[in-house]
Amino acid sequence: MTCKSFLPLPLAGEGRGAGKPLWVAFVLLLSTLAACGNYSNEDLEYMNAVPARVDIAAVIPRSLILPANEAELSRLTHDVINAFNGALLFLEAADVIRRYQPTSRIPHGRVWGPAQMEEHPDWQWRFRITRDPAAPDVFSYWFEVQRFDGGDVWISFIEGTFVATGGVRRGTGHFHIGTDGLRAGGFPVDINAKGELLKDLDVEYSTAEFPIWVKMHMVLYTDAGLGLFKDTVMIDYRHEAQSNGQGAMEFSGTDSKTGWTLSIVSRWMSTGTGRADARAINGAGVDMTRTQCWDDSFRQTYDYTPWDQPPDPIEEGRIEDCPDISTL
Amino acid sequence: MGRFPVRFALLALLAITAAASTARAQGLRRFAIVAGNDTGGGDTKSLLYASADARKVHEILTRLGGVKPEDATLLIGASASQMLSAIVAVEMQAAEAARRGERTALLFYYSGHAKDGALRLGETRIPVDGIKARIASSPIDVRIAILDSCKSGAFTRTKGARKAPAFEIQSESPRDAKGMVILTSSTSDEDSQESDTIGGSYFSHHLASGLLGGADKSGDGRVTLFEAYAYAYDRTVADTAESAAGAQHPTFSYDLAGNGDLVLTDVAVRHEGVYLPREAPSGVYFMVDGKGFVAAEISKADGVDRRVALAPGHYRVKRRLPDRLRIGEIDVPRGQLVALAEARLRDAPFSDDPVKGAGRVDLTSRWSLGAGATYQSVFAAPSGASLFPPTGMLAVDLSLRNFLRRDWIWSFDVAAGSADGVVTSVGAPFKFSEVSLASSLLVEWPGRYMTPFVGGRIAMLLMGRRFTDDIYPQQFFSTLSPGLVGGAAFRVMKNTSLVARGRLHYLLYNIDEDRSLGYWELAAMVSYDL
Repeated sequence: MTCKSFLPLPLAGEGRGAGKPLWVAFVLLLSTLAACGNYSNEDLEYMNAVPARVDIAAVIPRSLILPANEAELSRLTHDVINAFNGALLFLEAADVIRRYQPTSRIPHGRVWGPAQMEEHPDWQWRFRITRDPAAPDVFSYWFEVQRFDGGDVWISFIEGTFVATGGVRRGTGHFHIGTDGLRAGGFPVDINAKGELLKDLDVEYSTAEFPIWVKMHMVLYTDAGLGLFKDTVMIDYRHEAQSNGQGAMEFSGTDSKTGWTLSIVSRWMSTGTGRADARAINGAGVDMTRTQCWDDSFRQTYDYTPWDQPPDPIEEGRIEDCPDISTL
Repeated sequence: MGRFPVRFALLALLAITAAASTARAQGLRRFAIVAGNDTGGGDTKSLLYASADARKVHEILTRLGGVKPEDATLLIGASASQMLSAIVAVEMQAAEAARRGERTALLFYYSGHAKDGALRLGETRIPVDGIKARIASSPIDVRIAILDSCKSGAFTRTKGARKAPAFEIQSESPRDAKGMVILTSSTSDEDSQESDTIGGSYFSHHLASGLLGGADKSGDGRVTLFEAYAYAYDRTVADTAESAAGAQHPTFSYDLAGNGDLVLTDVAVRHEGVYLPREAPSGVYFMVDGKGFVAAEISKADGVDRRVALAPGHYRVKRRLPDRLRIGEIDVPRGQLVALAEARLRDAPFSDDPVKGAGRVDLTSRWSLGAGATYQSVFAAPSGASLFPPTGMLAVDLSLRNFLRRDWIWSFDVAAGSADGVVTSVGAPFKFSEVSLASSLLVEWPGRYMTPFVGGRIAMLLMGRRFTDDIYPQQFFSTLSPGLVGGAAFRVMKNTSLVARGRLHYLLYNIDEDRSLGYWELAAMVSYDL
């Protein structure tokens, strides 16, 4: 006989915390009768297969007090990384599985929930994860939501795969977040202040060894605030991180209305010193690249901006003073 | 059945002279010193029933033997000096009574160890010759000493103990009797034996049964010294004839000036107990009290009646036939003598025998407290080690010896410890903690310096682990784990032993899958007898 463990996930229909002492007393009573608990190595392997935000978020040196004359592309890099990391906030939903034991252990899998959603009391969620019996290192998982009166229909919110290579959350994986199904099912999605809504987010990553890399493809509805859900922008990120603190971020965005594509490749040292190359192209054959470098206080040390005063672009500083960073 | 070796008990008794005619004699002041000691020092094995026998004799003497409670001294587990002090006190009381013109009697009873010419009272000793001389010289008219102990016949040897069945001594002038009488439970070369079934020594058990009325051969309602001895002799020899230790023969020494049979108990005076009518079938009747002890074992012959002065209470009665038992129950109200008609008994198979033995010995039990360190490891390493890493623990145990049975140990232990481990499949380091609460039932074979033991144990294991940096939630596991225990205790001081112990345990792990994991444990402890 296996009893439930000591720190259970509050399930749908259960009060949070209410009656917990009795529950604990009951478990302690049960534990005197038979083997009981949540002591499991396999649980850890399932938990290990789901990425934590901290594992794949980009880390760039920054100061609490940035100079007023911070290099423009340094500031843009910080903004891009903030956006990149912000997109990964969705992963915090999956972090719940590392706070609670599985609700049930199924053959070759684990299930957390169903549990009531705190911010949407009419909805409940569950997290399922399975492993391939023929390839035990390969995991698939789904984070799903359901309206309480929604019958048997569960709407997928996050789904992903992971191939473990050993170590704490070390491996390669992919996950997809989509909101179209949520909207269709009536789930109250959040639209940001700009009237944007994430449509799709696809993330591939490898934490198996350095450099750790993450590729993110994001599609945003830009007219969500108007309730149209037609116009979109696609943004692509690629991030790499070395064990010595070096990092790089490639950002690429395309505006479906203007046809312009802007791509920026930023690289930085663990000290904060960095360089960014921003390339702008459009369908009319314009293709220009701006290069800017900064020191460890994020002040510009070099800048070449081809589009400011064509045909005689501005060049300030010496390109030789830019750091040589091989990442990306 | 008979437990060999033995016990020593000595009972000395002095008593009365009663005029032949009676325990109700006028002017006879009776004193009693009743001593029982289960222990006899480091080179002896604890007795189980010596103290219980003393209590039983004390109760009979104060209830039926004409000894006032204030004149009866019960010594349980007393030392030699305490016993001598009790004798001095009685002598002073007796002298005072003599000054008032009263005649006096002393019954001295001892049940316990005797060895190498000395009574053993715990760690103290009194030479047999010394105690004998002391009682013999006491300024008391009649002194009766009864010893229930191994080779106690040495006490009577110089007086020409007689190894003989009952004999009759008729008194012509009992009121003038003075002198000393000695009864012993065995000869000078015999062991005195205890029985778990009857919950006492054979000799004291039958002596007590005789005093309750079983020995009243004359049927006058009074049990004399000689009747009691004859009854105890016959029954003790019969019960021990087939024992591994061999037949045990009580002895008798009589040195009274002026003949006179001495009335020890008056079973008619209280008019309460069980009456076996003349027409009741002959045989041995067992009266078992509510605690399972045989309160009386009465041998009844054809055509005679017996009055058994049992204390008020509820009793089960058994009489054994060749092919079955006759059993029944009877209540003895206060102040009433209840006839046991044969119709009260029914046939029953031998499996329903109410005489199953005392079953426990609370008088000789003792506690010991131990503390030490243990190390345990699961057998299924390394996979098991990633679940339950090898762990060192600090342990405390509390043991109760001779409570359930002689040489059985019932112990309780608690241990706690921690260790570092790694879940290799995910590379997660953790701190493992364990608390165990357990109870063991062991059998030991006490030796002078080393006492080996084996037994079984059931443990409640409470285990948990916390992962470094809290990357995963804490995990817990609890289970009941049965196991085997073996080891040895080595006595290093009077009350202190070093204990080396090993355990083999079964560990059911059923969270990920059902796995039978065993673990072993070694321990070194220091144990102190409380």
